[in-house]
Amino acid sequence: MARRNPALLPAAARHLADRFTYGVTPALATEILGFTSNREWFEAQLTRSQPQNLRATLVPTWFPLLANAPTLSAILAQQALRGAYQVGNELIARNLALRILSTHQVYETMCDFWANFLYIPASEPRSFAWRVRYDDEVVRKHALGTYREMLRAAVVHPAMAGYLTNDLNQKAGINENLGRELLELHTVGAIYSEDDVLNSSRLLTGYTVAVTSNFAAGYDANRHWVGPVKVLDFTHPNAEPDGRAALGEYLDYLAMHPATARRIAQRLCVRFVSDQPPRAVVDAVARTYLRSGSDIKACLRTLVAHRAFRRSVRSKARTPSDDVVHTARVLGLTPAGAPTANAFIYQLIGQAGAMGQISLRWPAPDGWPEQTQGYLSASRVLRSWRTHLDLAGTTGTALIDVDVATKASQLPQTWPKTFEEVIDHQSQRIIGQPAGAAVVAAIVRSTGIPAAQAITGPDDLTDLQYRLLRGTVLNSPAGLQR
Amino acid sequence: MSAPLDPADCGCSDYALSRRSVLRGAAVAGAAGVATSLIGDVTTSSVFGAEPGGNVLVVLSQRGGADGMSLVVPHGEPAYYAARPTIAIAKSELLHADQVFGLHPAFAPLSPMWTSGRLAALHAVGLPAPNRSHFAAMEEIEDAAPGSALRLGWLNRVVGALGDEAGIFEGVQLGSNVIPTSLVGPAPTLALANSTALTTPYADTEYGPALRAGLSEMYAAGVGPAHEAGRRALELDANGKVFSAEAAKGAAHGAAYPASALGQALRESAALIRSGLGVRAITVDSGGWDHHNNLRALLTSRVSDLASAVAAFFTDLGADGDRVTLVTLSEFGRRLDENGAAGLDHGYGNAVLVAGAGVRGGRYHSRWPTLATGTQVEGDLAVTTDYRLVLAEILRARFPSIDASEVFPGVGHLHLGFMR
Repeated sequence: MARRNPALLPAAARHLADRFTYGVTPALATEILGFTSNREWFEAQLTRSQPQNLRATLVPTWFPLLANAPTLSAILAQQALRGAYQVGNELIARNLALRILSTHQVYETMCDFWANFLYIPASEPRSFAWRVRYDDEVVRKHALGTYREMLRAAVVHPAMAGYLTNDLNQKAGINENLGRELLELHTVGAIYSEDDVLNSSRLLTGYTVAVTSNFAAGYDANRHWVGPVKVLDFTHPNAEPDGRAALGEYLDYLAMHPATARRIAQRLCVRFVSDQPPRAVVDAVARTYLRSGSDIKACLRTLVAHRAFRRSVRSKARTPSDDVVHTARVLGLTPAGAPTANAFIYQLIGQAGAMGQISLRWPAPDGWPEQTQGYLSASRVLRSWRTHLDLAGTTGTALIDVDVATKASQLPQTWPKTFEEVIDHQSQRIIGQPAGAAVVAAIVRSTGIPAAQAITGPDDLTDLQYRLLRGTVLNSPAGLQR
Repeated sequence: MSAPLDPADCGCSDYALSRRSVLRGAAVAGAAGVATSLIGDVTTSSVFGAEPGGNVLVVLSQRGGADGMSLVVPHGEPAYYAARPTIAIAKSELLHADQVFGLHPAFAPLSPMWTSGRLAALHAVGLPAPNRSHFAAMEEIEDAAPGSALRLGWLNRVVGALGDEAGIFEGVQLGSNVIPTSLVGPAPTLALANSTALTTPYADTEYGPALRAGLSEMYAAGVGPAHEAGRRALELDANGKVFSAEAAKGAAHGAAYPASALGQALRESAALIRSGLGVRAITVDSGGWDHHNNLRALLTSRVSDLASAVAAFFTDLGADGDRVTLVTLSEFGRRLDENGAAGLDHGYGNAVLVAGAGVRGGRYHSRWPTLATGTQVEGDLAVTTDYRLVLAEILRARFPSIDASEVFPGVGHLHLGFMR
């Protein structure tokens, strides 16, 4: 009988980390176990009090286009030197690299969540020059703050004005694009009348972005529609030529509307609890949202303390983008730079694309679906299996500009072991559970090594056997779940 | 001005531009030796039955809310010209004009199908009640059982109605790996990004068979979405090679598809139809119709892409086209009055095109409400024909074994006469 290997984390900590991090590594397990409770660790993550990983602090330097001012981005695109696509790809790559490397895993998770909610795609031509600023000034700044402040920052941001054509919305010709999505997607949901959309749009007039030239952004009171407005129960004389104060009151009203609380609670619970979260947890999070003045940290505390969260173990699937990030983390692949399009971090984007989902490449303003069952299509699963095996070895065409952990560092530290014990060790390490009989049988079959065979050290496994072993562990059903 | 900075384009859910970004992404990733695929904006879904050679339904969704009055122009209505001082299309530019309607000039590639009676236009079609939200309206169209608590897509109900054989190829989506609402439900469905790499890992190597056997073991028992997904993947591995081989042959009969995502999706759809796997229904989902600004130029390029892709699709199919019926759908039409940016905000009634087998083509079918002030709905073209009646009539004509009233519960029965 093979000896079982210890789990990296107890079950409750594993569940919390499965949902709020991009993959449990031995380092993360050590970090969590260093706290007196899971809750203490979660609090430390909410305040980002952990020292940051050195390499994570270097990530921004890998992506030179992201430092460019919007006007420079516009000029580079007009001169056909660096276009919207490249800027967007650098942004996506930066965020994937941070998800792999950052010790602030809960923060990165929430940045992803909000970027997918107050959504602006990467590389969209009317917003691309401001899109990086949007990520930094809206999403990353407010991801663990209050929704009220994040909404105010998002709606008036030049990236949002460009994306949802608010630059074309003026008193002489109302354009309802942002006015409608502000209600439907960003706040209360589809409970509005067409008059509400019109008045919502009127309040938004005045903002300008020069999307056909240098992307300069501003506010022109001469374009602002003046006069009384009513949206849902919000009324305002809107008598000032400069409508920004009125808009601010309107946005605060929307942010604190019970329907907004409900929608955000629902979205959080779909992301972190299950595709069909129980009503009780949604209600609890919505109550906290309203009581706390839209405090995101408070909402998350309520969510993770709820029994519906504790009961939702492994009920979510990994999206393709999360799959490639998770794969890199649990297989010990550490991005080391992004000097060419062949760099590992860019190849991960390609792999996620082949599986059908790349963060910030959804083409409509509602963001990628948060329900994850739709990502489990047959072709995605075939391609996930292939990707896992491709990345599970020590060599490969994708392993460029990445530090690959040595075999010895990933395998057991004491020898000899039976092969079955080695498989079980890898299963605990990679997917956080003991190796089942089917997994052992599958690996025995593909490697040709009997389960009972004694393994005396890392060199007893060829690179191919090591790849088949680890890739197959990740290809088991648990590898698709979180 | 370079491509990425396209001042003409509205950013509102701009599927077309995102597609360009994605295509460039494919090129870069291709250079890195990584297979990639289109995502998000063009998807193709398919339903397969047991018998090869049966009739096929193709639903082409125009995501974003296409302006039906620019596609099928009501030139006989002075109100149309009055409401659209800069974006109306003159009667002299229209194709196949009758007393009331004419086709947008960029439909020229489809003129032969119109003339030969294989393409018809319907007007004032839409949801039974206005819904100007992209998301809610598209969900309602794909679900198609308003008021039902069951979130089952109508295509899935077609699968169920056909489904004496619950094989993996009964429900297929091409072009994206994300399963659309219309396919959500209990009948087996599948999503493919494209026709390549539809095998278990390293299938062509000496350890490929052992890997496949191992995967079969790991996914054989067990319940839940991950296990079911793995079993579907293994079924796809068994069937997908047939499709991949057919797709690899390329277009037939000299068909020239546009180099667009829609062109690629329809080319792969034609390969599916020809592959002998028994495809019965396909939905192709094409974005880029949300024209809040600069509508004329933007819409012309979209119509041109659609017309050339559909024309190539039927050319490619050749004799197989005699069993294929294609219908276009969009979540809503657009306002009658143009906005301040030479575009149109979200509206209501819309136009539908039906092409191919069984169509009484070369004519306009409409219970036209007119654009008179009293007939408009909040300033929009009214809807006189529930879009589900359109789909039901196609199902009854081409899939007589299916009970259309089960697919579209509560829709009733009304013969519109556009199908033979």
